[in-house]
Order: sequence, then C-alpha cells, then structure tokens
Amino acid sequence: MVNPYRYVRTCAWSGPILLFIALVFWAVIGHNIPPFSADLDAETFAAQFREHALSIRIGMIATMVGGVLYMTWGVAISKIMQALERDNDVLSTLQRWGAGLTALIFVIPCGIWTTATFRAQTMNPEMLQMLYDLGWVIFDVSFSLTTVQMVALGVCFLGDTRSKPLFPKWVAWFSIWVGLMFFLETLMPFFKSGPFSRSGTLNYWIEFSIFFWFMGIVSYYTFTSITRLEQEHVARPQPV
Amino acid sequence: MSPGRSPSDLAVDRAVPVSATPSIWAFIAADCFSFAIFFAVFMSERLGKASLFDESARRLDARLGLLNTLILICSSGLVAAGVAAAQKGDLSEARRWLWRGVIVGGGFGVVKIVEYSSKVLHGLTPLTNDFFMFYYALTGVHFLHYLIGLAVLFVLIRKTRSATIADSNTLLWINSGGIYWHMVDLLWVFLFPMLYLLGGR
Repeated sequence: MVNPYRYVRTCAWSGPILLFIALVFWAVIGHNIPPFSADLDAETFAAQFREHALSIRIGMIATMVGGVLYMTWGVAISKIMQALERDNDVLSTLQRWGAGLTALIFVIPCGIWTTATFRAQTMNPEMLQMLYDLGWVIFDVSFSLTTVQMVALGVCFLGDTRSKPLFPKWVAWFSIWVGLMFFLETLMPFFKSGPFSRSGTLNYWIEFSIFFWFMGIVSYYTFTSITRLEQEHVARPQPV
Repeated sequence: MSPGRSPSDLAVDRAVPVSATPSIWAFIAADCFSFAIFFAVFMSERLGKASLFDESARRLDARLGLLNTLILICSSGLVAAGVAAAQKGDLSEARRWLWRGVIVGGGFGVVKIVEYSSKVLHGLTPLTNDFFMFYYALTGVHFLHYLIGLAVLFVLIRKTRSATIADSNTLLWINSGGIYWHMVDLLWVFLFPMLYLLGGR
C-alpha cells in the first residue's frame, strides 16, 4: 500500500532536535544568553570573548551542523499543509522555501562566529568585534526569510475546514504573529544598547523566546497531524 | 456541498457557525501582550530618566495626538456600524459604513505623516534620545498595524462587493476585520496618554 506519509515523521523529529541543539549548544554552550553587548568597547569585548572562545566554538559548530534540520523540519510541515491545500501548492512551497533559507541563517552566522573563535587569542580586538557584529546583523536582520515560512504556515492552517482542525486556529495566528513580530529586528542595527539592541529586552529576550516557542508548538502539532492524516489515509477506501 | 457523509470523509465541515468566536482573538491577545511589554519596557526605562522623558514629551504636540485619538475612535464606530449592517444581511449598507470608516481613519495617517515630518525637520529623530527612540519605535509599530488595518478594511469592502449574500465566511471576515481595527484604535488610546500626556504640559 502506498504510504504518502512515509519519512514525514522522521523529518518532523528535526524540529525538536534542532530546538535542543539551539538551546543547549547555541544558547548555553555558545554563550548567547544573552549575546555580548554591542555597547562594549573592542578591548573589553575581546577579553570576554577570548575567555569563552573554546566553548563558543563548540556551540557554534554544533549549530552549523544542526542548521540543516530547519530545512528538513520544513519539509515535514509542507506535507501536512499539502493535505489541506485545495487550489494549488503555493503556501506549502513558500513554507518549504522559507524553512530552507532559514537553515542558512543558522549556518552562516554560526560559521562567522566559529571563525571568530579560530584565532581569537591573537586577533586584533576590532576585527574580533567586527566578526561578532557581522554574524549578529545577518542573524537578526534576515528575519523576513523566516517570516515567509511562518505566515504561509499560518494562512494555510487558518484555511483548514475540518471541524477539529489539524492545527488549532490559535497556533496558526501565533505563527503569523511571531513572523510579524520579527519586524522589530529592523531596529537592531540602530542601537548598541537598550531594548532594541541585539542583547536587549525586546530584540533578544522577547524575539528569541517567541521563536523557540514557535518551534516547540508547531513541532507538537506536526506530530499529532501526521498521526491523524495517517489514520485518515488508512480509513479512506483504497482503489482496487 | 453533498448532503451525505462517506465514512472516509472525516469531519470536514465547511460551514463555520456565525456564533463561533473568530479565531483572530488569538492574534489580538498576542499583539496586545506584545504592546503591554513595550509599554512596560518604556515605563521601566523612564524610571531612571523621568525629567529627560518629560521634557522630551513636552516637545510633542498633544493636540495632534488628541486629534488622532478622536479620528480612530470615530473610525472604529463607523466600522462597527458596518459590521452590524453586515450581520443584519445588508452588505451594501455595510460597504457604505466601511468606506466612511476608511475615509475618517485615513486622516490618522495624514496627521501622523505631518507630525513625523515636522519632528524630523526640527532635528528630532529616533536617535535623538531614549524618549524619541521609544516615541518613533512605538508609534512606528502602531503605524504599521494601522496600515495593515487599512488594507484589511479595503479587503472587507471588496468582500461586500463580491459576496451576494452575507454568508458565514464573509461575516467571519467582516467580524474579524472589525475586531482588528478596534485593536488598532485601542492600542492608540494607550499610546496617546503614555507618550503625549505623561509629563507633558
């Protein structure tokens, strides 16, 4: 019997695994709770960064390697969306592309931060700081790649006409809201301190928290949806 | 829509009951939560710099802020009348009220542009000081919400044109769009006193 949901659950596991990698390796081991303040002068920044260079290197390598999981996670979500799409596959395609491009935003900034750790002990402090800043500008201001994924996902699931939708409507709205909230990151390059800076209350603590909640919540409903869709597929009369 | 349900047609239910609470409330709740955080951050940053914030607030024109408050409240009322007309099944009446809401609401954008330009011409930008950083960021984010709200109202007007009867889907859109527009109004009702009146003359 054809199983249209083969491999989908495997791909769906990418979400929780990447969330774990992001929290443990990127955030904790990588010394990103919060990141170093943009307000530090180069010498002070360099001293602090050098002290933790090895730990940061390990955290960033793990995130670089794990980044691809955002893409594979997106593929799983696309399969759920395809079960709902009626007119065409535009929304699931947008979601897949958004997730795939976001995977690069895990890989590239973390590659820049890994490079910063490579010769941290001997590098000029201004160059060290510039590499760190470079990673953060790309990491934060590339948000619209992820907004597309989140809005496409949300719009698709809002259109679910099941009396018990695969994804509850509040999750669809939450996804859209998170994607739009990211627009605050446009202010990040203007501020070296305060709530809109890269380590600030709004542009770090709130924005990153809601992103991780998004990954957790959507992962959960992806799994429950796969189970329901598999059951629906089995219950459907098969061609002779 | 076929009357019978085959066993494999698992609970697909096209009709959304009119009495169902529009799910947009989840978005409204999240958005109000984020603005509550913005307000909290503003108030906490203000604690250490109250005189700077007060002196900066006095450079805002509270009359323009008040005018904008009245514009949005009035526009909200007009849109509410449009939603009520739609619920009674009169889509052309609804359309007329929605247009009135758009025209009055459009005034907010005009006032805001006048206000921003005059501030910038006087050398007051988001980088001037912390108060103005918040002023531009908070009113800017609100302005984005406002622009999205205007776009939503235009979509609602289109829907009243293309729908021949007020079906449950059209009503859901109109109800939800109205709720969103009221939120835009509500957020400004909090922003206005916080930015313009607190510490102002």
